[in-house]
Amino acid sequence: MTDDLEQMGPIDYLVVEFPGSRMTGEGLPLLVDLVDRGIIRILDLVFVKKELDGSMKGMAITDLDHDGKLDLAVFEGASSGLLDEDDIADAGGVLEPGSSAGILVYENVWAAPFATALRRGGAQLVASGRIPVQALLAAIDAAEARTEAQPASPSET
Amino acid sequence: MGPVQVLVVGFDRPTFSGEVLAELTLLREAGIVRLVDLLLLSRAEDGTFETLATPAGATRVINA
Repeated sequence: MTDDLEQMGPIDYLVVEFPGSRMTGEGLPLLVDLVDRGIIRILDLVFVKKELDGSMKGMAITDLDHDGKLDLAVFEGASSGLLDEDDIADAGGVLEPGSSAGILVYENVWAAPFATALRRGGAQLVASGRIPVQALLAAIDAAEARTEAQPASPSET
Repeated sequence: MGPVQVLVVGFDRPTFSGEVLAELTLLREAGIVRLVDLLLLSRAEDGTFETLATPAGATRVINA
């Protein structure tokens, strides 16, 4: 089991809000595709609704958009019980009343061999974070401005 | 564009093993991850930083 844990990819969680509880199910085939391609593994998936009075209610993984088709039957077995009442209450804290949300816990299977390669090379992760796209674009603009100001000079140390 | 993440990975010795680059290349070829930029730094005993040359293999992955 220790070996298995060491070879696991990093685990992330997402809370995706559907304002006004309007769910089209459009994103679900893409999620299924990520699972089928072995890119992620779903560890838990729960759908909740925040009522107008602020209380949280679990939703069955069945017909979320009420069109008579089972949208999420493929995920029926995904609820593993990892997410508990406290997690659902935390998610409720960031939801608008009347909205629904999917809470997803998943393993980044794709990153497992990469992480193993790093560990074997004696590396350890010391920091990580997400970069907003706007910040990335600003950094690219700044880098291009620098390149134009001083063409083809080697970087200074 | 997919979400962009930054990782800072520490090595005791300033090496960047071919194994890690090989993994990054595989991820790039599979369309899973795109390497946007890579910078190697070394911190000396006195706390100063020095930029190390990017390995040629890494430049190929970034430009792929």
